[in-house]
Amino acid sequence: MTTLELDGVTKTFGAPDAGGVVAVDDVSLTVDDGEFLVLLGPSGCGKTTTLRMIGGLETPTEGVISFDGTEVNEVKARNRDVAMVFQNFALYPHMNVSQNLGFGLRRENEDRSSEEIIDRIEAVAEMLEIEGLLDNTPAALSGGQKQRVALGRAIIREPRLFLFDEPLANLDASLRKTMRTEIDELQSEVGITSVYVTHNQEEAMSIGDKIAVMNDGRLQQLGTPSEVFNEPSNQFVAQFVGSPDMNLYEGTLTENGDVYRVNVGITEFDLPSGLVQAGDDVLDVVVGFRPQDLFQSRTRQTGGPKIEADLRVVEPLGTEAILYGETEGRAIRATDTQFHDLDEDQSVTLSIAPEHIYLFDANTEELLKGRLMTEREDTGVGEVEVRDGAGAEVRDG
Amino acid sequence: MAADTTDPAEEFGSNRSWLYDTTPGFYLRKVLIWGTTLGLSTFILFPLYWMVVTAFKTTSEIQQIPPTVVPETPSLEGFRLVVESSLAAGGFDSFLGWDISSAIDIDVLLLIANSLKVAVGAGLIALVFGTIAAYVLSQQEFRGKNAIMSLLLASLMFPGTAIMVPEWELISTLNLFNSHLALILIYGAMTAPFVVWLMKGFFDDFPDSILDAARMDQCTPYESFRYVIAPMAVNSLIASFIFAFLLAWNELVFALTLLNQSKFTVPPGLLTFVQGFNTQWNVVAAASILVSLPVLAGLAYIQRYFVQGLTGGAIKG
Amino acid sequence: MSYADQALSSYERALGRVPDGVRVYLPILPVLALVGVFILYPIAQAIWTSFTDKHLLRPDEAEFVGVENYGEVWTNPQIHEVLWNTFVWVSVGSIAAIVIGFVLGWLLHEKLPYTSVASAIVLVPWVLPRVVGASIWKFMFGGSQGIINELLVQLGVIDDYVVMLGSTELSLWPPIVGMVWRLAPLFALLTLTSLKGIDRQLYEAARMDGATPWEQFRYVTLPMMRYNLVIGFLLMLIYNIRNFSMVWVMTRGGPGVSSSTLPVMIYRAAFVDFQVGFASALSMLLFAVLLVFSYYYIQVYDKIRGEF
Ligand SMILES: Nc1ncnc2c1ncn2[C@@H]1O[C@H](COP(=O)(O)OP(=O)(O)O)[C@@H](O)[C@H]1O
Ligand SMILES: [Mg+2]
Repeated sequence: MTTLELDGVTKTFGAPDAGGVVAVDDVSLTVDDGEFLVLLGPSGCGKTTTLRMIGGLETPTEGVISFDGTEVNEVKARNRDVAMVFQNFALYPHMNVSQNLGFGLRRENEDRSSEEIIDRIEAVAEMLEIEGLLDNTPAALSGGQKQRVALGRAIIREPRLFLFDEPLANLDASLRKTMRTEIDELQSEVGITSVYVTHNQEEAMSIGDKIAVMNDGRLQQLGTPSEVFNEPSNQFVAQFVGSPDMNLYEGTLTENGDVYRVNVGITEFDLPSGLVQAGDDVLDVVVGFRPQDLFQSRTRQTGGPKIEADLRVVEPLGTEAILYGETEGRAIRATDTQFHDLDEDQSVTLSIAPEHIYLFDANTEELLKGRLMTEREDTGVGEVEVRDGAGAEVRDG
Repeated sequence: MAADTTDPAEEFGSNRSWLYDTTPGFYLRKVLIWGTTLGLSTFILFPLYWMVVTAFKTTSEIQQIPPTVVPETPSLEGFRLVVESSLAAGGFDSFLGWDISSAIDIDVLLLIANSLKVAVGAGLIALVFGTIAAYVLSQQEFRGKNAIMSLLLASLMFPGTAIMVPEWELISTLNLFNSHLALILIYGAMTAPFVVWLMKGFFDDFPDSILDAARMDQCTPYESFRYVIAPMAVNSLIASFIFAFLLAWNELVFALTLLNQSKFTVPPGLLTFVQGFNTQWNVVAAASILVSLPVLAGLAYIQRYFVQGLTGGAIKG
Repeated sequence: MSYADQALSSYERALGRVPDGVRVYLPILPVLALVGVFILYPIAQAIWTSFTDKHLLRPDEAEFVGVENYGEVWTNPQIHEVLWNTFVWVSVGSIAAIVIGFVLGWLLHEKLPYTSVASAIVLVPWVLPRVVGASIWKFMFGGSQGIINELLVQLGVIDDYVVMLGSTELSLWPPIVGMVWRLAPLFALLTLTSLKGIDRQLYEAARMDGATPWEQFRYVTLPMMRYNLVIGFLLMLIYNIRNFSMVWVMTRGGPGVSSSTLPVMIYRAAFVDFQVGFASALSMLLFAVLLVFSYYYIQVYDKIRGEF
């Protein structure tokens, strides 16, 4: 089917020199045939614009977009054979569900027989379980039903590419989870190359084969969900992915024989030098602890640095809780399943395994050390636990 | 608000007013409100009532002094005379074996036909040109856009009396004097800005994503318009047309100055009749009702859009 | 699938040949042309004519006479009475229409049932063909069988029927009454619409703050409606000052010029006396006033758009 390639794609709105907005800045990426790519980033970072350029609703200012190696920059949306699902569904209000579904088919080929169209409408309606709604107008549908119709409108044409622009953002939380699974399953079923835009990192983690993290129009990282979680290319990605937010502390890194000594004020610890790709002897760094990696000492021995913290708030989330604490005037967040006996204002000892600690260069914000170290088990820092898909376990943020 | 120390009950008492919180005040308000309602309703509605009852009076009852408030012998004489005189003016001496002799010199049916021709023509011109312009004004940013919108809004304020003299000169220069085409063009020019404002409001509220969806569904711009925009716009389009139609139907000044009697539309035709000697008011009232019917039907349809159209969308509910 | 069929439709190709900066103006052109030719050009033309002694029956012999016509506007024996009439008409007519319309709109919103039906009925005077409305009032004010005379006699205000439309002292008033009848419904509808637009929660908040009904009206309703009221006020002024049909149908501006307003005088100057040059100069006067009102109308309009 279709391999999608973006090469140095830039989009500027307005005159570039006279206060124009650079919405997308030099983005290059490849989506393989049948792959599900998620574009993830905060709102305003250029995700929608990227998607619209792929769909042909906008033309890139610079760079090349190609489908299977053919440049499509100048090809109009209607000739690209691409389908898109919009955030607000964008169903035609004056048509009933069945007309909404059939509209694209009819436009694609005026000579198509009504029977064929009806057959396909029925097939899609069955797949999406909206057979009973075919005669309703969009106004009479619930949010979830509208979403299904919008999906159906995209699927029915069996396009080369699916584009989704935050399709779940307008649904309520529980519906969002079910629809997310359904979209995932549907895409695997039809196997059509897809690009999916969201600002919700949890959604991205759970649905994407690959995630492209964007910020400020620039591509930050392209990788699998676990790569993005465990080896974020920089501080922005590390902070954006995962919930609750990563704890970040400024500190220094000093070479000390075959270990690096890291001093973060609230604690101090050694890391085997093999783990860290640092050039200089002394370096300003930012240290990151994922709240999921911080455990109470009484729960689990991690063998890593210990941090004394005064609990301020315990926020239960069912089986576990987020612990909000303070240590030497700095905030710290952790999650733990043993929280029922904790009092707010009591003090706890938290610790983290050295292999779970993230290190960033404080000047460039680039990653010095990530979380996954499967290939470095010879460093002797104890057993490395590789929880596959650990990143996908994060909770709704 | 009073200081914190105030006893709440006392404060409550001080907030009470005679008009709102006492029984006599309550009745006084009731009386005032119903009195006002009655007075204003009478002022607004009585003339309409008077038109209707007059239309159903006989010619002799019309001349009674004092006038009768309720017709003593309700009759269709007024309507009959209107139709007869039209037929007579149309050259029929008898119609289906029924002898027609009319002393009344007003051909209401011809007036209506003329007005229809002018109003439909002007309505269509305004609708087509206005809608196209509104679409671009709504969707695109370009130099001079605000100036154009202000110009159109201002032009809504001017038509009629301020330009009747130069308009007359222009039409004479164009050799369009005493032609319905002249009125169609002028009314089109007067109402197109209306349509622009109304339709621009529609397009401004039109969700972009629907158009994007149409593009993704492989529509050419024409197909987007034909299958998506037009069906969604149909109510606003009808409303726009009715607005334009009504203005053309009601306009007096240009019709009076740019046409000869032979081509008169309803307003100048009726005017001539009303100002003639020995006006038969039951006939006038009957004719008035006939020419008002299309207007009232239109009103029922466009009520929702009325304020928006009148004020260029400045006041919305 | 190949992209060989990237075909543009023919009109897209045609449009593509128009320079970018110009293309966007094309669709606006027909409207601008219509308005330009039939509204703006006549205005420009009138400016020129107002400096000539053009006569309707001898339009080709017009000669440039400078500001003579404007001089006549000052010296014309009738103009002062007409201007005074116009002033009375516009101020009394507008104020009455606004007060009545506001109360009516408020009643429709607050007190009366079936608001949408009721407001449609109230609106009838405004949409009725102007000549029809004016004819009704002419009939009602009639000197021999007029119901209003009868009413006044019954009420004991007058002893016997008075020919109001034919009296130099009274003839100005009946058309004003007719005009108020026509405009008040419009103002009522504007009031109703803007009252509907006020968020109910504001009143609830005001009540929580201890506001009496009067205070709610004074500090919530009026401020929320202020621009809409100004728009309505300007519309009333504009409609009143440019009105022609109500006067012309009822009195033709007479007797003498006792009920003439500026538009009526223009009409008479041009089409009764055939003094087109002089009529054009009068038009300029009317035009200037309308220009001022329109300017404010647009100002307020822009403010409102800025607010929402
Ligand atoms: N049509 C447009 N005109 C001007 N600026 C735009 C337009 N569309 C998007 N932008 C700007 O481009 C940036 C990226 O927008 P968008 O792609 O919608 O972000 P996202 O979808 O990630 O929230 C934003 O700063 C936005 O304001
Ligand atoms: Mg977006």
